[in-house]
Amino acid sequence: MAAVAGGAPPEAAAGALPDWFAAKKRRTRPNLIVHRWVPIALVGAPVLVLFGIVVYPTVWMFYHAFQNTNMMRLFRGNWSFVGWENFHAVLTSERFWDSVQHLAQYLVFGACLQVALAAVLALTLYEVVRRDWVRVVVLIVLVLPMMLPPSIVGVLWKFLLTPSNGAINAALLHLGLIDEHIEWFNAGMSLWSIIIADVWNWTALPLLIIYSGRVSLPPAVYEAARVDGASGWLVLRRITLPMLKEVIAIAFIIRFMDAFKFVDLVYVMTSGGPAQSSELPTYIAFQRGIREFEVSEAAAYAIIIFAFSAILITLFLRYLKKVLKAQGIA
Amino acid sequence: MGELRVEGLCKGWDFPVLDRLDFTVAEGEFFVVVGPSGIGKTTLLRLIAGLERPDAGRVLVGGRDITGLPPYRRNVAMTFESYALYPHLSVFENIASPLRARKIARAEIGAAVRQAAAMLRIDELLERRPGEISGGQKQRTALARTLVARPEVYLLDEPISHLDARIRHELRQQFHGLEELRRVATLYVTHDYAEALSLADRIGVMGAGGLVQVGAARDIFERPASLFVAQHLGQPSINVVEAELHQTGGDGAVHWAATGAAGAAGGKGLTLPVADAHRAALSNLGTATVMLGIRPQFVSVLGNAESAAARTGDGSCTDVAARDGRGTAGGGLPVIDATVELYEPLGATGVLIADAGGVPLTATTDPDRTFHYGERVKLRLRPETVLYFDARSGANLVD
Amino acid sequence: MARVTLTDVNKIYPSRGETVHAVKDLNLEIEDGEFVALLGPSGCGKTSTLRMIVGLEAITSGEIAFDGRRVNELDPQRRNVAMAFETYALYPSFTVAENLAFPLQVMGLAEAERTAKVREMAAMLRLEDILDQSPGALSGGQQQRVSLGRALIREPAAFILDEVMSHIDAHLKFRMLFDLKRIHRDLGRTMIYVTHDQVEALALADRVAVMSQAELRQVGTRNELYHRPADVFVADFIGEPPTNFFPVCLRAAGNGAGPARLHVEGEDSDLVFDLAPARAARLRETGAERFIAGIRPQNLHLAGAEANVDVATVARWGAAAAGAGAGAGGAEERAGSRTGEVTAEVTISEYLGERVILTLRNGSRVFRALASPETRAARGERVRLRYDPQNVMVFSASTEALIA
Repeated sequence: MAAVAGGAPPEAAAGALPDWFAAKKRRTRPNLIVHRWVPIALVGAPVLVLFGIVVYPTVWMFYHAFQNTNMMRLFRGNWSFVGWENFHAVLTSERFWDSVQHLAQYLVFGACLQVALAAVLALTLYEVVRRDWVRVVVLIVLVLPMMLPPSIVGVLWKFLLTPSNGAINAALLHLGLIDEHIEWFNAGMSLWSIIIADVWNWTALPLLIIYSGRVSLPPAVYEAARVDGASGWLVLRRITLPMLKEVIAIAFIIRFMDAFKFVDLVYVMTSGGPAQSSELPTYIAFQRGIREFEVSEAAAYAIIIFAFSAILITLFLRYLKKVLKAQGIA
Repeated sequence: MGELRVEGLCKGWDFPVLDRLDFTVAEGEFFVVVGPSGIGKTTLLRLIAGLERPDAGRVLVGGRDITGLPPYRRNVAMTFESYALYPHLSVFENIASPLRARKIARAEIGAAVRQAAAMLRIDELLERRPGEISGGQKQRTALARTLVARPEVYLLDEPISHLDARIRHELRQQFHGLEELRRVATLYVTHDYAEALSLADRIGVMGAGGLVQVGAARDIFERPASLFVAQHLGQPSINVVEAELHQTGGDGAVHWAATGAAGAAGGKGLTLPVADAHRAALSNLGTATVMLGIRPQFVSVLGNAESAAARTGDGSCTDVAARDGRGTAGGGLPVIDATVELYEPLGATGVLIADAGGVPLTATTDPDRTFHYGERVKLRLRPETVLYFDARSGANLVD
Repeated sequence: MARVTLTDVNKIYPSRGETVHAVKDLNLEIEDGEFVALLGPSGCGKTSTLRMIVGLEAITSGEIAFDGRRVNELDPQRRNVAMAFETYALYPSFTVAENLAFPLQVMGLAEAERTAKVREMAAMLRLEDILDQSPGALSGGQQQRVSLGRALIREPAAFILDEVMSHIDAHLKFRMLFDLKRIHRDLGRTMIYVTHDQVEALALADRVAVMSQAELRQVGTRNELYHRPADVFVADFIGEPPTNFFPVCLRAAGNGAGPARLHVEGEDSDLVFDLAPARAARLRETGAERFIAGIRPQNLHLAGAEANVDVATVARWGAAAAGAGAGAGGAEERAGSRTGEVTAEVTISEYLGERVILTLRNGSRVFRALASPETRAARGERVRLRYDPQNVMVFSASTEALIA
């Protein structure tokens, strides 16, 4: 090795290290990380599994959406191509458009209410409660409903809301807020009942997201605001909420995506009834496909829901990207 | 082993960062790239380390093309500006991490880690976590981790720039002592010109797109190729004065007059002769506008005794300088009148900003002296230390 | 405007089951309009002190007063201070202009007035081109300037600046320092500046308060800190490259009356420093024999190099010869002192453009000297170094306090 200009005190002269690279060259066993089959195997296996459980069924669904498949024909193998007929049938049916209306109601009063409520709870918890252990206890209590399986939640709320002897009606009567029993499961109320149960069940998710977003905001910014003399309301409006905008948007997107696959509480609490008054599109797809085995019609429902949610999610993501870019993050 | 060679390297995102960059770092050479932040120094290191893919060009080590290889196959070690220590591992484990990946016997690893730690004087801290040690110690840990890897090329990204001045000083000395870094090709990037001057066998000054000058420390500092290089090196920054060159008489004498200065300060202006050594290069420019570079260290503030001597020697020196282009006084050097704008006695030097006929000039002084705002002082320049740059391209007109 | 007084201020806080004494019995008086820097290594308690002055941290004991009025219990807002943060603390969802305007908006200033002030501040800190950008898109140095601007835009009783130059590139720093100095001169308000960088502290502050290990070591001007450092810590911390220290013992040449000399301990070292008689007498009064001697690298001059050293050094020598320097001791000692000389071997010659730092060795003793860039002294060369005995500082070996 070439000696080079530049001084070295004597203590470093003795400090030449052993040449590890020589040792590496001697080794004959191939390095596990470097071997070219390792990445292929590691990525390949999950891809195969994914193909089996995602790609194949999806292709199958798209295929049957354009056939006239039902249970009998599926067994006999004599289905035939019908073009857009299934889509036409769905899109012209009153049942579908009613369910879309229900979905809108659920999105506005379910998902939005959850996120708004979550934001209020999360910020109150962070700003008002000063002791760490109190915060932890409150968080645990608020998160508990999320831990329960939806079927249990459905059954629980079905009991609570039973018109004649349910705890909710009893409490409201006792407090004098109502004069007679509310019929929670009649045609006008059943969807509201589901929304109430869902808010109870899932508000904790956006709450956790928004709370952790608030925790990670830089404290120095708040100190700067204190020194500047900004009031609590001004800080909330001009600093906290703008900084949490993306986090709240993400919480909303998650709840929004969940809305499109929301089946369980509907199934357990009302089964879409009475008179299909609490049906959501997904529930109809489930009902038609799994229970009545109208494979093609269910596939058409699924594709319409998929297309609709894909458009909305794309718009959301585009908005999010714009916001992040404006802040110089992405 | 061997030299590190970069050929026609290009990289850009929305805008070009590196544009056809070529340079070679010889085996055993300590090459420092210095440039302002955001100019692409880190990008260059990341390209060589294989963390980024170049848009064009090649990276060769010892003649072997490594452009397409993944980082772990390049046998290149890099320290990161942010240290990038594993927070959950002890100092020992952090240093040992490059060896762990190579399945080397436990005892050998222990010996190598302790040796590297002793060399960098962090052997007392081996059991601590990165969160429990100071910035300087973290930097040493990161450096030790790089050293134990025994690579063919060292890439060091601003290893000491974010530390206190005194720890920087200490670590600079340590870099001087590390034989290991002089064994292979080492590429060191920094925005601090003092580190570059102190450590480098050769320096590459980076401007937009690539290296604007490559050379030894003294060449870069004393004969900068362009105004950009001159401005980037030196603290306080070099004085930049726009001036006009004039031929005087038939004897080939040239002097310059600062632009816009003549009107100010009662028409006195700032006019000085060009040194004999520079005359040949500048005389064929005729009357031209140039940018002058005057290092603050070469502007001296005369003491009371000296200015008195200068006065008795030549009467009103500035006026003489303006008239006959000689302006010699007080030891044969030109003297100018100026008014103190700001003065700060720092550590080993004082920094004075004075208004010389409408042109602000920075000078370094003996820190024990005191000056007051508005005080009249006499400044002495050394014509042979003045640098001349093209007003448009910024190129050095003399060297 | 305010005079800030700290009286017996203590800060104790619990950390992982232990109590940390972050600030110990701090007494400091900052005059109205004064620029004071709190300087010290990280963890010395300077930031805790600053946060107590601002009101972001509770005061464990003692009193902080603004113009004689106790402010311990007041909110940051009611103390009427403006602060710039090391981490910038910019409001990320605002543009640069909105960040600058926010404190004014809180104060309830009219829009037109706000815009005018933002313009003015932007011009002062060279932020005009980035007013419409959001902080996330800016470099660290730019964010730091915005943060500084947001503090300076108000007209508070005092400005509190926490490490506001730490992310500004070296070649821009000097300009920023002088800008800030000018701003202080123009505004004439009290400024308290926290930093670990002595160049910043010395450049900006009228007085520098040096802290170490929760205690205030010394408050003084640059010259006081340089020529009469209170103890070894201050002498070591102030100065770059750091002061050279040697364990020495005092021996008289002849029988006590002649010039005293300080012999550096260690058998393999033949370093000896001369000492002016008056100062030697002061050392003898202590009754001790062993001391710590300190000499700054810039006070060790390469001998035989005067012929080609740069003008600044010539000027320095000239000034020293004429007795014009504002030295520590005074003229009577200076006149009596002769130039001393030591020899050493160069181990590292570090060229830094404006100067050369020589790392030297004499036996096992390693020390440093500053030389002019023209120096060609190379590794292995034996050189002679001259010094003015006046510049040799002597500290007590037991208390480390300055004796002479």
